[in-house]
Parts: sequence; structure tokens; C-alpha cells
Amino acid sequence: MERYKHYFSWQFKLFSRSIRQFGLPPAAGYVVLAFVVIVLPALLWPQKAYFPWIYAAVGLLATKPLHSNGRIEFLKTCYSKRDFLFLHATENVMFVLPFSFVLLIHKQFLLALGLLVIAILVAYAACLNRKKLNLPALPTPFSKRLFEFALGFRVSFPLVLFLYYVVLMAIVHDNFNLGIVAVYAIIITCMGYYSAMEPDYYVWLHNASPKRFLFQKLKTAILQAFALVVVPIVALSAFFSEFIWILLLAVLTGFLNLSIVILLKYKEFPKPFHIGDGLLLAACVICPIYPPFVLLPIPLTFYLFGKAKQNLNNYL
Amino acid sequence: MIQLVEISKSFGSHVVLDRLSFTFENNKVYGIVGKNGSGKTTLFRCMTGLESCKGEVVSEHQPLKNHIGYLPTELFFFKLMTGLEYVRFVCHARNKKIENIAGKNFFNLPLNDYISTYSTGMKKKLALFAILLQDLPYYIFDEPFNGIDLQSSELVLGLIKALRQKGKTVIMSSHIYTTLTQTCDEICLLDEGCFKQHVLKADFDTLEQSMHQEIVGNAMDLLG
Repeated sequence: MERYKHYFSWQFKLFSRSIRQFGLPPAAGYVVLAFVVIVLPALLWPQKAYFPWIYAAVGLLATKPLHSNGRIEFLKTCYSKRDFLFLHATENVMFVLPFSFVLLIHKQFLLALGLLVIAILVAYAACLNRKKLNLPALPTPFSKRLFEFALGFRVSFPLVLFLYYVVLMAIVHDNFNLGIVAVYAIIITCMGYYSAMEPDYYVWLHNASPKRFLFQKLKTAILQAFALVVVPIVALSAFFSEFIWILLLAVLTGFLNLSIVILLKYKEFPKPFHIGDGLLLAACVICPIYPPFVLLPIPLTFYLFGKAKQNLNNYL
Repeated sequence: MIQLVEISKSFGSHVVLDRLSFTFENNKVYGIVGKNGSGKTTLFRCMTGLESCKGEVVSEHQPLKNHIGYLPTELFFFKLMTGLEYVRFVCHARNKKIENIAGKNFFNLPLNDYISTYSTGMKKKLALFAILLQDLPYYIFDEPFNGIDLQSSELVLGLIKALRQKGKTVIMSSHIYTTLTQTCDEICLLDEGCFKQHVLKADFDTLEQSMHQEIVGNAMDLLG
């Protein structure tokens, strides 16, 4: 029992440190997490059939950091099979428990129970000796201009394909709102490609001034994002021509937000994003919902470009 | 030529480099030796500009960072990047147009596979391959022999000699002294923040003996 207690106390310390690194005191971070995960969904539960499923999926996704290969391998070398199973299952359950609780409040009993069962089954699956599948490298149209899109696309292409399907369904069911959300979601997916921070060496390598480096990054990002959304844009424009200006405004806002995430990254480089950056980005992403704020990304882009350029002077 | 003028670097109160001055002449191979934590990697990072420092790094090539091929001791690769993509990325970042990368693959690396499937030695070879393709005047290799097999070590030794013959300047660190004696024109001992000794070929053995005496002799005294 002592070793279990030691393990969870150690994990708690590590998690608290990651909250502190994000820019929040750990106590405040836990309060924010509880608010976002439990209180907010409990109060604002949308009455849509699919929403509980999305919420449960988010709960499962929240356990993703616990399943990384390196972490699992390390824990297996430290603990016996029985101890590893108990610890890993317990931490999975602890992560999904708040989500199960909210699902219970909203009478989604089967989903709440299913979430807990899956969390435990995932721990069992981790116990199995996985055969390393050396799959061939997935070709990508983005290899010519590396690296964020090439790598990000390899991870997210099922999601991108799904969003293309959603656009198709939007056209079939004459639902422009669904289509525009899907296109915006593709661009948000592209923003995720820039969330990982590369080592300083990867920036230092560039034979370019900070200004040229940033222009190159922004140009590559926007062109490659455009390549991903051009087909849905053309399709939606053909079927909803009266709303084309809304579509183009949404895409433009999306590209501005994509630029902002890149500039935020290099403004902080090589430090990771912190809470202030996260909130700013969240505000920019949701600003299209509130027309007075739709132009917020424009002056922000210019401001962040200056800051990023100043920071990159240390490396280029 | 790379001239270091009173290079100093501290991390908090810990002084790593202390007014280190030295000139690395063109067309020579230099070896840097020193204990773990003596500041070899910090010195290389200061020379490349990856680390800020006091003092000056002077060279006829400016900006110097664009003329150095630097092999760090700790390598980072994205999991879902192929070897070919990494080489292409490095060359593109350096504005070097390299045709037929696969044809120049002298390490016989599986360039179309994900780097995550590479062994430690293969990753080191990939990084070295990407740097050597750039054809730069200066190369800084931090522990280039770590993790690579015997055959590849021989190949790297040959490559370093070939670089010198091509008029390049190579500065490297290694814990394997024989790799330095076989390739270097001069070996410098980094200790207490500066080069305590720097010897030419004739005195390589003497330096090794004095290092051995200091390290092993002290350890034997502690054992009693």
C-alpha cells in the first residue's frame, strides 16, 4: 500500500508542476480544471443527442498522456505486472471519474459506466506485450515544405477525412452552418500542428533573419492550410453561393488564428505556451461567434509578429 | 579561423566557462577533452550562438552560425518524420539545394522509414549525414562516436580526415581518446572553465597519462 501511496503522491507532484509550467499556481489550476470539466458542462449541457458521446470521448482523450509508450514501458520496468495493472487502471479511472460524474448527473448511466469500464480495459490492454508494427511511412503532400504540416497531417488525417465527410453531409442535408463549422474545424486542426515546441537547434539551423523565418512559416502554414480546405470551400460555395461571403470571412479568420498560434509559439520560444497564451488563443478562436470581435486577430497579428521577431533575434 | 576572446558563461552562481580564449585555425582538427560537466557542450553552444555568453567569438565568416555544421550530443527527432524528410528539412533551412540525397546515402540509412524506427546509432548517423551534406567551412561535433558501431566509427574517422583534407576546420569532443589521437592536430583539456592544456600530436600520450593519473590516481586514493 505504501508503494501505491508513493506512486500517486509522485504523480500528483508531476501534474502540479505541469500546471505551474502552464503559468498557474497548482491550486488555481485544479479549481479551473474542476470548473471546466465538471461545473461548466453540468450547467450548460446542450440538449443534443450526440453531446454526451462527445463529452465521453473528451473524457477518454484526457487519459491520452497516461498511455504514451515511454511512460508505460518505464512503469512496467518499475512495478510488477499486478501492481502496474492496479496503478494504471486506477489513474485512468481517476481521470475519467469527473466525466462519469457529470454524465450521471445528466442521467447518462450507461455512458458513465461504459467510460469507467473502458478506462480499466485500456489498462489491461497496456499489460499485453504489444508487437511493434513497423508500418511504412504515410506519404503526405506536405513533405516538400517541412515540418509541421507533414507531421501533423500524418496524425490527424482520419479527423480531416471525417471533417470532409461532415462537409459532404452539410451539403446533402442543406445545412450551411454545419459545413462552415467543419471547414473552421479543419483550420483549428491545422493550428494543433504548431502546438509542439521544437528544440532551439531546429530554429538556429535556419539561414534566415527572424523576419524572413516568420514570413516563411506563415506563408507555408497558410498555403498548406488552404490546400486542405480548398475543396470544401469550393463545394460549399457551389451549393450555398448566397453565403459565400460568410464562408470566406470564416476562412480568413481561421487563417488569422493560424498565424496567431504560430506567432505565439515563437514569441515564447523555446518555452511552452502558458495560460495567458491559451486564453488569448481561445478568445481568437471563438471571436467569429461575436461579430464585434471578429477583427480582433488583425491588430493582434501585427503585435505578436513584432514580439516573435524580437525573441527570435536570440537564435537567428 | 574561429577566435574565442574571453568567453565566460555562468548558470546562476555556477561558473562554467571562465574567460576562455583560444584560436581555432583553419584546416585543422581539434579535440576537446574534459570531465563530465566541464563545459564542453556549453562551449560549443556559445560558439554556435545557441547560448548567450560574455566575450566574443570572432571569425572571418559572418554570421558564424550559418557557416557551422553542429552535431549536438543529444539529438531530437520528431517521431513521424522520415530520415529523408529530416535531411531535406536541414538542407532547406540552410538554403542548400541538394540533389539526389538518396544517392549520397553513404551510411546506407533507410531514409524512407520513420526516424522512430531507427536505432540510437542510426539516428546519430542521420544527423551527421544531414550536416555533412551542407559542405560548410566549420564543423563542431559533440561526442560524434557515442552510440555508433565499430564500422561506422571507422567511417566517421575517415570522414573527419577527409574534411581536413578538403580544408575544413573540425572541432570535436569525445570520451574515446583514441578517436581523437587518430584524427586531431591538437587536443585541448577543458577544466575549471578554460583550456588548462592544449597539446600537439607529439604530446598526446603525455596528456593521456596525466589525465589518467589524475582521475584513476584520485579514485584509487579514495578506495584506500
